[in-house]
Amino acid sequence: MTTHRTATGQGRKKVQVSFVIRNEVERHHRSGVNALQFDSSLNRLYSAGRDSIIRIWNTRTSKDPYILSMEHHTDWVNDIVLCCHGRTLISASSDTTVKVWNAHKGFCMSTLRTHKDYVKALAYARDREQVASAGLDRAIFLWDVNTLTALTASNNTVTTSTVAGNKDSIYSLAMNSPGTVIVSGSTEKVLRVWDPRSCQKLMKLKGHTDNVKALVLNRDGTQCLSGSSDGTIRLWHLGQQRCVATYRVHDEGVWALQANDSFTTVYSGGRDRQIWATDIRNPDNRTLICEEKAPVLKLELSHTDPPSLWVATTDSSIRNWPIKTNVRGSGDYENENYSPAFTQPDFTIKGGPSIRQYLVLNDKRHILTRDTDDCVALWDVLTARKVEDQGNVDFDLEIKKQFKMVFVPNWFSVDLKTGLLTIHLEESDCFAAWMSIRELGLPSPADAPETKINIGSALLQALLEHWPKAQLEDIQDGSNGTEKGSTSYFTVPGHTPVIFSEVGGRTLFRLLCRDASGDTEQMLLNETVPSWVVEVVVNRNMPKFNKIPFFLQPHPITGIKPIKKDRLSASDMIQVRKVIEHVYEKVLGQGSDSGSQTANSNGQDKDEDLTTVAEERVELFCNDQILDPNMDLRTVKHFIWKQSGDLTLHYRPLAKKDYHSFVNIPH
Amino acid sequence: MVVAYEDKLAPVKKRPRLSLKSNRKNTPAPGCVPSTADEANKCPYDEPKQQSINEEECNGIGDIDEEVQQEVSSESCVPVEESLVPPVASLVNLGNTCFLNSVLQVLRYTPRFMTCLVDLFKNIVVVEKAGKEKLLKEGPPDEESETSEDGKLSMELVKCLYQLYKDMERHEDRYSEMASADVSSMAVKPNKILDIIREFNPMFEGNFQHDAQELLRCLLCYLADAEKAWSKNHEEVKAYIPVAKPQPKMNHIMKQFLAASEKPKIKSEPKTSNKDLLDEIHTTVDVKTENCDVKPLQEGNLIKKTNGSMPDVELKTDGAVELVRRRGRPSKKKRKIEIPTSTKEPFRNPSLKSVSNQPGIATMFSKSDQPRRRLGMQRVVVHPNTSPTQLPQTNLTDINNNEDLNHDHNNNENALPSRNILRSRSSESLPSLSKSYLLSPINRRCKTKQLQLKLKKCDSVCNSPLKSVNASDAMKEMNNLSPVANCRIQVNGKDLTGSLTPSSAKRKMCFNDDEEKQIDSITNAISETFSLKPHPKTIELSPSTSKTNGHFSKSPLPVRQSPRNRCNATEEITPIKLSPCERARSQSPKISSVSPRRQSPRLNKKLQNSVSPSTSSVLYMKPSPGMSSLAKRKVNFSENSTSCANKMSMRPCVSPLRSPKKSPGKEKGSNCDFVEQLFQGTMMLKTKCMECEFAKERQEDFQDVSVPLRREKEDVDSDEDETDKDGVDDSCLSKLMSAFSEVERLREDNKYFCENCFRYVEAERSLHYEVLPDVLTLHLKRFSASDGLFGNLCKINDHISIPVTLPCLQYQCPRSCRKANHMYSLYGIVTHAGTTITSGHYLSYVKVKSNDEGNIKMCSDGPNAHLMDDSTKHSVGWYECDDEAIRIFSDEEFREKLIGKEASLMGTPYVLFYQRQSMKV
Repeated sequence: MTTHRTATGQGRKKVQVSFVIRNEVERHHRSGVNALQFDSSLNRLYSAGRDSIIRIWNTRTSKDPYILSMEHHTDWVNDIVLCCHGRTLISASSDTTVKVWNAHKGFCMSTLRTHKDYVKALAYARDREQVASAGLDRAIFLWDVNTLTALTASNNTVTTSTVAGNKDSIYSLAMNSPGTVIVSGSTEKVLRVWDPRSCQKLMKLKGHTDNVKALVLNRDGTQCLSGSSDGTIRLWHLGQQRCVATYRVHDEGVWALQANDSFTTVYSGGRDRQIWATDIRNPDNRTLICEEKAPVLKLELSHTDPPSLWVATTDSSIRNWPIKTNVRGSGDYENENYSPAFTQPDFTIKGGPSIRQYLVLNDKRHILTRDTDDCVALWDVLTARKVEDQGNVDFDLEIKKQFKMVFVPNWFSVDLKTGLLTIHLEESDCFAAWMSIRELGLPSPADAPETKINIGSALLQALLEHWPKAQLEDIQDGSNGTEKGSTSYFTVPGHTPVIFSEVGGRTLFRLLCRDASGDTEQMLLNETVPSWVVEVVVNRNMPKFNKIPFFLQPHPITGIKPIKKDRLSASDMIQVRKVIEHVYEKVLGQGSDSGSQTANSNGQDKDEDLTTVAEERVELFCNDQILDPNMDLRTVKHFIWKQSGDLTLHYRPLAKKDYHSFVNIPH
Repeated sequence: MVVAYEDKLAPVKKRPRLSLKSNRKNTPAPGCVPSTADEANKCPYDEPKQQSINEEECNGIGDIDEEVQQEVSSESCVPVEESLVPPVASLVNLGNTCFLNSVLQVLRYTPRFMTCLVDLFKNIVVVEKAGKEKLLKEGPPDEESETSEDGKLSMELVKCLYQLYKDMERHEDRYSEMASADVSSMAVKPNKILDIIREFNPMFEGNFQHDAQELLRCLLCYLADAEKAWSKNHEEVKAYIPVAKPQPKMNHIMKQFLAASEKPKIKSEPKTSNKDLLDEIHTTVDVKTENCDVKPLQEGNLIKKTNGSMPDVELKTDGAVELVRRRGRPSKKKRKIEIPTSTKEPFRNPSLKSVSNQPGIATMFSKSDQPRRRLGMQRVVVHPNTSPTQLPQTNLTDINNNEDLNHDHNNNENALPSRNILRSRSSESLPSLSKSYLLSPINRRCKTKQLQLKLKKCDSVCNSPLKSVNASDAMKEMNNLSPVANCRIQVNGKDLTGSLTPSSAKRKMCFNDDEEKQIDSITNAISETFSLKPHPKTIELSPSTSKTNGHFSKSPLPVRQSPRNRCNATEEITPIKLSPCERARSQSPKISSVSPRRQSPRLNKKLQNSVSPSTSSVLYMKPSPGMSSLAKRKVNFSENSTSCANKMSMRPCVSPLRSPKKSPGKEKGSNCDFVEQLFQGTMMLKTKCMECEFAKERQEDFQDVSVPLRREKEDVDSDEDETDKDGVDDSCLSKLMSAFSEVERLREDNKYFCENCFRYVEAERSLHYEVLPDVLTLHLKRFSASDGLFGNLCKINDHISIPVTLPCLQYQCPRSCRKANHMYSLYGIVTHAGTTITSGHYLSYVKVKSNDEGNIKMCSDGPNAHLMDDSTKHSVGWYECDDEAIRIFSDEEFREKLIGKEASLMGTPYVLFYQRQSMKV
């Protein structure tokens, strides 16, 4: 009983359970798009979303370009590279992993867990099929793609070389095609250059005054372009180890760079939403290609004919802009006001709305959300489903409308980083909330009116209901004598992703709810499911009720002299009705003599009668407010008592004769 | 400690007070001093005590001449150790209370602190007496909630602190009687303070060593509380504070205070006749006038601008009326009104330019003359009527002049619009202005943030101008004003109590601006002034007031006498006015629509009685009255001061040069937030998300700057080329400076939740200090939890050499900035010897200044005190305050200890105290 609150130990960080409430197929990006890769041979665009999903688009059909989702990450996908002539995709994510995908079929082949923090950037040396990954843990790992793709479950050791020496979080990385030079940009504000073949440090380039967020190398690795949060683009001559040019075309941080193959034109975008094409050798010759609606996160030059520029922003849509084949053709565009050369994109991959605001309702079960389209929706955490689309209504108004005078402790937390609702369950508070079946609106056996459910544990059971261990254990554990919750009270959609991760940290395992019975899944589950979850889901040990202490005293207007101040204790779920019964029975000495405990009504037959009688005879007050018998104590404490001290309730007999009986009772 | 060494070499000085000069002569090579110190440390108590006993025995308690005594004792007794203790009061260690002693000593020598404390003390006494009177008259208060316990306690603390320092001064004054070779002969027991502090904060109980820095913060916090409590009480009992009566009370206190310490100088100083003062003023005024003429063109431009912006012309009244308004502290309404006129007039009357030259300020002055401001209401009344009869007879001529002036100034008033501009501009410009005496509107830029204050009450309208001003900046600016200006003001102040008040008003304005509370208090004060005003016409005058009235009436005279001078006078005052104007500015939009009467109904009633025609103008003036109320207090003090001002405050009066400095201090004292004024600055916390690069800013007050001694440990990579970047530049200065441009990375497990990205991201938290206080406290983080071996607070004993001056620390100032008001110089150090926070020993070093006569004074006294580096060196000395023991060092010696190769300070520097170099004391 008490053990389920102790930590799992193992020197590991605490593990939390999370799940995402979403549609089975998410055809649109729900949030910003961090990275793009274009496969010109197949006319496919790969986009890495902040919604943790990598999507493949068919750029030949503008009507419904969606082809496939690649889902395995649990956090922002920060960068992707397409290798092996488009057969393999490698992705880097804030879930600290690097994943290797079969790009054509869209499944995840392996996961590389060497990084200890968000993986922010990848670099690809096409000629050597080598990929480098770098992140906020300051580490750079070099991967041989052919090795990666050959990984199997049994042969799963990879050797990587690391490039050491970074002193700060890395936000950008670039490698030239022959793989002779690798450059990293970090909050250290310097570029660091290595030879990836020897992992020898080559140089350090100083000049930027802020984080370096974008890097491009020319093919032979002699020149490097860098885009920085300081708003400048710099051209570095690696041979001379110095900055040879600084381009100030942006007003704010430069977040994305692309250069054409001949390294004559640089395309840049950033926080100021503008996309510029600048002649590298003649910076005065530049063109404002377009103005996006949101800060630009990534540019991808498609080497099609005519070439175009794919643009990803913090908005979920992806647009394709035409570019002038010859930027230096004329100075026509160099007007003072620099109006964009294009106002309409050639192609748009529409994004979906992302949830940007939420409110957990008082029942701690429903969540009201508002998305980027200003649509309001109501969600049910217990069933992991959307309850209702409210449409374009006023969020605050809707909040008021949904207000319920009920208090339930917090037992989960909400995360919007992916633009979808992610619910986190943590050991510390997951079991804080109990609700009666009636409150939950569940069908309940008529004769067990007051069954209370710990909703945290019920939800965990639902999330793992397909885990054979949970089912199996359930039967065995029936003998343990604890509550027999053989069937889950709820079910969640089978496609619901369930994620085990370190609290605030790395993802350990992600699976879909319905897949829990798979062999690998079972194995991994056995490893990762934290003991506090096992206790509830497998061993079926229910957490304890929360007790609430309170004082019961005669109301001053009754004129009854308070007896000694007894400190009572009851489940915080108990309804005022039960307290009234208690007063009626015990304090006023009425009713049957069988009532034993206030906290748990032991299923007395006369319960109903007693209750109705008691309610007619006694009133309860808190802070001079009459209490509704249906209210539970925690609600009373939260909404009416509103103090930190122990709750104090006052009772008042309604019938005169009860006064007498009362007066007789004391002493 | 005994300055034994000196005695060895030369006979004890005959004069009780050691002059640093003589000190030096006597002192051997600096190197030797430490050794003595060490000895003394080892046996601080035993030997000296015995000696003292001997002394007493030998000498008996007889009435032998002090000098003889000293000589006898020094020579007859053991030669080395028995010299007399230095003529400086010390504090008894009550059992590991050196943490307290060191802080108390530093505070004592903190520029301006004592004057403020004394003022606060006096104010509290006045209020308490008034409270008693109230009790008598009204019976016990209905609600006992008058003052919170804490409030009372904090006020008690002020009293104790005051008493303690007074005791110390007494000891020093009676040095010749008390001093012996016993170190503790000059020691005072800070037990009361300790008791109160412990009552406040049980943390300080027990005989453990405590953190001196924490104590300092607590102490300052309590003092600030005391000020608040006082101002609250003051409001409640203000009706019972007699206008004239308080003076006697004050005198009493003052006398007590001075009695012990009175010096011959004081006697000679302040009692110049009003006439003399007036003369001085005039002369000064003339000088200023010349200066004033500067920059007419700019003003004209300004005016144009303002005209353009200000649409409302509703209330064009006679020139005189307008003038009145202006003086009265331009309420927003006024401004607007004025503005239209100004638009028209400036163009019409080219002659106005000269007046306009000193845009806001000048106009203000001309209209209101210094005395008027103080008197505020009175003056206003007079002007509107323009009838000489109202004014005291003496003033009549002046009044006439004034009327003329007013007319003249009407034009000037046109210039007033420029005020608005000025207001809006920051205080930064002020310093420059002060130099040139011209306020160039262009230069002034107010920090918009600070400026924007909301006016809650109608009454506040009057005050509103005040609100908008950046208090701190304004203060600084004020401080920056050239000494001449200050002197003038002060001169006026001496003779004309009224004149002092304006300056005080200024200060209030400046300092209080930021806080609405303060504003409220001002309003209250204003209201008080209304009732209390000495002005003969005011209905409510108390019989005793007549005197004061006399003062006030007189004061106006000097200014008024020569219309020419007015301008000059205005210039002087200008700084004051500007600040109010600035404040008004921000509020102006709201207020503009309000009719003057509405704004302050109360005032209107009263005023209307006295001055029906110009009521509106009078009302406008109210804000200034608020000032005047403050002024009143000051006035009272000043009056007393001539005869019996307290030592601290009075000293300045001795020599004209000094007087300026001190008087400001006084004025400040009347504010109820001197702690904030002195010690509090504001900083900006900026957190930038590395993902979306959105920066969130938050402004916060700070009272000290924490300096990390060890940099966050960077990953130790064998990066050869790192040296060039991170450099060997690990000097103290760079460390100290780094505290002023701290950048913290929020990363790894300490990520920042970005509200735009909806996730935890890396972020960069930077900090810069926007407004630095006059007294900058640097707290060296010697006790860090992380470095402790066993999770204890372990001390970082790293040596750090302490710079005597800090370069410009202003945010975004060019590196080469050498502005005096951006520079800081060291005046105090609290050092700690020992290895943990709960053990060891604290002592303090404080900078003092000796004047020519060989007396050692607080460094604040000298006009050049802030210039550590220049010629004043010879007169600067340092005390080492080690509980009972005090040792004196010359500046050179101290620097040697501080910076020299063998830094031989006792203990390691822990809290550093710097004063703004331009700070006027």
